[in-house]
Amino acid sequence: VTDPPGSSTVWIVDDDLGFVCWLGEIFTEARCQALPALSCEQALSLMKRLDLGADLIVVNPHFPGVSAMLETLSHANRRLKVVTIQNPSEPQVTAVKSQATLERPSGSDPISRPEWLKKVRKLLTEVKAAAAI
Amino acid sequence: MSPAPVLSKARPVTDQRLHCRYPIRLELEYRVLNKGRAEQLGLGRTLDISSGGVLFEANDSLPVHSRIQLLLNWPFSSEGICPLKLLIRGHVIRSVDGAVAVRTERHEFRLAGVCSSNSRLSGEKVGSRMR
Repeated sequence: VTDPPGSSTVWIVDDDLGFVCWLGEIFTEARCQALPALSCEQALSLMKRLDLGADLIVVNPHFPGVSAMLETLSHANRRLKVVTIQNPSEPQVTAVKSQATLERPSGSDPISRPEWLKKVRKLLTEVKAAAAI
Repeated sequence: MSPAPVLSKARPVTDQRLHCRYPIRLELEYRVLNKGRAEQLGLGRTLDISSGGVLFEANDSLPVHSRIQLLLNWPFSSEGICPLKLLIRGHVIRSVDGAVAVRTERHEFRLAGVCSSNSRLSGEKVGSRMR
């Protein structure tokens, strides 16, 4: 996902505005182009209107229409990688197929930029490896 | 064609998420509204953003309980373009020592096209979320 640097387009699809902005900043620091959407419908609409595809999508698996959106995007890009957002202390959603999960921090977690950058870089490596299997 | 605003179907926000504040520094414009009209305009910078609110620094003190609009560029996209703007509407709940806390009631991304100085507080709505 990370090669060549800066060429990967990452969509962050979630309704937690703070988390979306935070991930936008961290993925940008990890040399990706990060774009936000508040719903699956909006993500598809924005992709079309901005004429942008997706290399990686980080998505809330509880959203309505998530499976249909991923199917549509997978047809457009066979190498699409998917990361699902997991809420703390909740079981992982297995209905949505993904290469990795990213746990949303809870209110009591300290938010460390270096740690999140490390986490996102590791995630990018993991999804790349998982997609190669 | 713009999709209909996204209003309520996502799962409810949990208490844990309400308290998670992300330290994000973004430039913003604000408008304090009174009966729908801009009463006070200014520039600021976010200190943190959570699922339910924004804390930002501003030179002026803002009236508590007033309605406010915040406009931010989405800065994390291609070089040379900033196609998205984030519009937040809410109420000022605290304004102390240059730090203004806003409870978010609604936020939405807007298509803004190529950045320009006259694109402020304009743009094409692409979706929204009510809290």
